[in-house]
Amino acid sequence: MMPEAALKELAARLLEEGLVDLFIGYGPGSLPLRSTPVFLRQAAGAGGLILGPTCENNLAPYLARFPGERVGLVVKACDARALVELIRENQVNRENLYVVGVPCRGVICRQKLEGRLAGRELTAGRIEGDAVRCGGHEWEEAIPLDQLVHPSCAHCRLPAPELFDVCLGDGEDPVAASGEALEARDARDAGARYREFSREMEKCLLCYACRQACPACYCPECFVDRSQPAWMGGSGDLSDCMLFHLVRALHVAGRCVDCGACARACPQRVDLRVLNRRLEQEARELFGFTPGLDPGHKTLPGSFRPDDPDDFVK
Amino acid sequence: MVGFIPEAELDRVLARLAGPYRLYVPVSCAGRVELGEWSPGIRPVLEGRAYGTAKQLFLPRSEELFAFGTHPDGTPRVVQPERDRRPLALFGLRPCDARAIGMLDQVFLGQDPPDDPYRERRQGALLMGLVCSRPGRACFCAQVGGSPAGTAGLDLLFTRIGGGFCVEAVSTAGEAHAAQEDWPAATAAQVAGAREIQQAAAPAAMATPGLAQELEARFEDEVWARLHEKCLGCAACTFFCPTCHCFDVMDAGSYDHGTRLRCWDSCMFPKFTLHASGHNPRLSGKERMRQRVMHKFCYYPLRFGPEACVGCGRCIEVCPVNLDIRAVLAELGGSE
Ligand code: SF4
Ligand code: SF4
Ligand code: SF4
Ligand code: SF4
Repeated sequence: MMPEAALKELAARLLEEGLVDLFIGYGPGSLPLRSTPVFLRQAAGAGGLILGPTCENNLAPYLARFPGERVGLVVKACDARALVELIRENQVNRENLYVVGVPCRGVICRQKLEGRLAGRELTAGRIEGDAVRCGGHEWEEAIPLDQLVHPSCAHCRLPAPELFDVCLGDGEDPVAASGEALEARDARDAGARYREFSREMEKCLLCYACRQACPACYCPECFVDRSQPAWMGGSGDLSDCMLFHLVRALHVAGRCVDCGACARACPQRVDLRVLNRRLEQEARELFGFTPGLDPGHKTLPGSFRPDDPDDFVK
Repeated sequence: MVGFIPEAELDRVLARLAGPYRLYVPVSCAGRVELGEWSPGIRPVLEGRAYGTAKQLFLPRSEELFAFGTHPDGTPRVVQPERDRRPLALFGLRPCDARAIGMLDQVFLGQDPPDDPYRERRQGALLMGLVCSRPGRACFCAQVGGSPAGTAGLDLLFTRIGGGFCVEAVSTAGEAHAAQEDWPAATAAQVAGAREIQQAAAPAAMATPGLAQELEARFEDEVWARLHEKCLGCAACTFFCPTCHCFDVMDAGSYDHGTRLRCWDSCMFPKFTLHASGHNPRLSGKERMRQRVMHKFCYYPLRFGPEACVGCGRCIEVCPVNLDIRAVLAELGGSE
């Protein structure tokens, strides 16, 4: 059975048999090539669930809103990694979760799509095999999916969910992430990297969509929302934006699973991977730790070994 | 009188404006239409509406109201910021966006006293609109009382017909400007062409009467719990909404030396209603989303008349979880 059909059946059964109180998945969005999170409490809605490259949101951040409820959750591989971290950090109770792992070939990067459409308005879109069929006023174009996948997906080295109760599409639809090679450590000098960072930060409006979309950003009160003392101004000038993103980066270091949900949520197309991929890389290269794997391990920020490398401490 | 500007003349028309005015036009920016300052060689994009709002030109994301400090003798010192005080001119504004500026005017100018920084930017501004011949995928201006050929808030209305633009003055300021420009009159055929395009764009549906009253009675309705479910609680929708105008005033610097800033704020932020006592009357996303919807479709219309939504669709486009205000209205029994 195709994963999407299997998902509809499974969600209906879970809700019908009362195995979950709530099922969180994706439904068709109101714009072409968009999906939208759906919250089902009755089996009747399960037929509307969808899967595929439009399912760009990470649904894990929603779990915090339903403490004590048994929740069924659709996870792509990166979402599952986020879930591993949330469980490791005692933020969600594994027992209350029914995790439905789904195959993923990468989600569409709307920014890449916009660039490709060069100002033409997309009014219809559908996925057909490996092609994204796009259409608008008096034009049509088929774009290969792998040219549109989000950079986080293109670099996803772990495209099979790590954690699940059921994994749909078991093997029949092998996960075919393009698995771009591990990035080499950025060799550019600090000045060049700072300029890139500044260029991205200049676009930021401090709307906090990135933070809100991020599974690792679950603090009930973010440091930016403190007014006594105010750790940061809210004016959205460059230094505020830099401060917010640097502190956020430090807070998600060793926990960020590079799901890219933050970058996709950004209305200003800020390339947040400028920081995130670096975090992931440092955790891996310095501490041999890949966030989102190995549920038995302690949290990275919460573990200390006397022989931890420290030559970056200057 | 309806004037006519041949397509090839547009550049010269804009160039003439660019000296006395700070002129903004829709420009293409990495696949998006954005409002950008015009300079020679820039060709305005005539299709689609800008991703960002014109609001940011009148009510910037952050503005310095004044700087403060002390003179050497200890007396307080207040310094007004330097600004480019040329009036703004906007070309290619969509009718929804112009209508939204009219709503900001209500809030910032229609009160006593009016808001000085806003008035400074707004005074003398020339708003040149362009009829939408093809509404976009998220547009719903007609459902909230607007029209793709609407003139509310505009000074001049441009209608693009074969070979150029028909231009009509639709305000006193627009008439004064047209008189000064002395554009050649459009031929009868050109005027007929423009009327045809305007009529084709005219509203198909009208606003829902009585929605505001109905919503007022539904403050405690169960529907809100469901409506806000997927909302992340960011400020994307409000920051990009041309009618949202909430701001925060804060000081940067120290107690005796710094700047007072006015910055956008959002009812979607928890801090927005946080009291000094620590109490927060809008405790969860449900109350905050309800506020956003109620302000637009209940409180503002009860006070000022029309909905505080012009149907531009920006909140639909920028929402990271595709929460669609049209669907929200449909659930609430409004338009769509
Ligand atoms: S910081 Fe971004 S990439 Fe990392 S876990 Fe959060 S949303 Fe995902
Ligand atoms: S989503 Fe984008 S614009 Fe909003 S705070 Fe994050 S980086 Fe800035
Ligand atoms: S943009 Fe969407 S997720 Fe963000 S506050 Fe608005 S409705 Fe909620
Ligand atoms: S609520 Fe949405 S559609 Fe209405 S004016 Fe604001 S951004 Fe536009």
